[in-house]
Amino acid sequence: MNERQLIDDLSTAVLNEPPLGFDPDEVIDRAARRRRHTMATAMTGSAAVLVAVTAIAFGATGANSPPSVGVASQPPGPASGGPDPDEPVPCPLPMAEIVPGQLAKHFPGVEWDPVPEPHIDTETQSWINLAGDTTQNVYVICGSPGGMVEGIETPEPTLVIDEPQPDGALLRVWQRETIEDRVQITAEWTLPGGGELIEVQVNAKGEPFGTPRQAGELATELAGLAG
Amino acid sequence: MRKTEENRFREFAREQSAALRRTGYLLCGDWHLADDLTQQTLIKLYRAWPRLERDAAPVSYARKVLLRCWLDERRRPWRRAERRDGEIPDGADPATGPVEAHELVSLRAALFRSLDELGPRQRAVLVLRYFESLSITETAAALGCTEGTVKSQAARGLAALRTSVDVRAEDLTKESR
Repeated sequence: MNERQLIDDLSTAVLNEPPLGFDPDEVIDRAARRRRHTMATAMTGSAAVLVAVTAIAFGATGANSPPSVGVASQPPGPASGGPDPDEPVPCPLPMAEIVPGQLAKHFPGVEWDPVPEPHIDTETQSWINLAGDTTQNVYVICGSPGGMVEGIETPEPTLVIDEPQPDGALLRVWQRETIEDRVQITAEWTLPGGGELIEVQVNAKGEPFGTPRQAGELATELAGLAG
Repeated sequence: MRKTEENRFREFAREQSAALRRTGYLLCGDWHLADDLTQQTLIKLYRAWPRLERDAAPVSYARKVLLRCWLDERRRPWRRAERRDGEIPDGADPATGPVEAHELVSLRAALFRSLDELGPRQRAVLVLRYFESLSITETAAALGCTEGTVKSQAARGLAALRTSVDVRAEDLTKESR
């Protein structure tokens, strides 16, 4: 095969393409809704922290003192130090060392493949299979710019845990049944102001070997270790 | 994102979706997965659009995001466990006769069997260079590698395709005897 023939074959292969399987406007509507939801949740968390800090500051200065000019009296402002949600969050965790131990802790009784899949391109991703079964596994990403569940269409994941944290971080866990009898659980820990720090995905056949709560706890602990 | 920015992004998405999906299809060999990859790309682009409009060429960036989505998709254990065993014919085009339709299905099957044998980056180099007609420099920028890597991957990819086509032709000859 030469260059000319490959050019012809590639062009021919996309002839008679089926119509788009989605409406670009609907995709954008969905992206906008998700974006608003994430920002709103992050703002709520930031506001809660601000109220708490303000209360402490007033308590410390006494009821008769004039309000001090400190952190608590500053307006929250959009550029108040939170990470840019469009930028990858740096991953401070040595994934290959930490993940196996964390899996044993959070999914007790599950036997894992002693040899993790080699990491590809980056040290910030890790997946570990169940012993003797390469189709069931847990996949962990640290410091990702985009969520695993975004863009998944069929079947759409169901949000089963949505827990804003006191510091403005957010834990969300989705579950969906994919092809045949497979179940996928995805937990995502988002930093205050946006940016996914930790994502954990459980891929199971039949009965899942982990629950959404276990996946969420693993994501929470990894976020704690990272933060 | 401001309303005007969003409207411009909508226009961009409507104009580019089909082209992005075609590239996605050649990367993955599955129109449905290509739909998913294109949607993921649009969602990621949406988040970066205000900055993108100011600083970068959106089409090049979109292609880069699509590639990243596909490479990420390939790493998913789920996807790796699922292998397509055959080409599912698309809906019949009334403008195409049965002979042409059969030829198209055969060509796609042979092409994707050969492309499936390549590594993902090698395949991406071939699609970008010979379908998107990107220069070596543009391909290197899209893949985040050096121009030398693009040249060597393109040469090796073509050689591998040639071998694959030759082997299949030989098999067919043996079968017909």
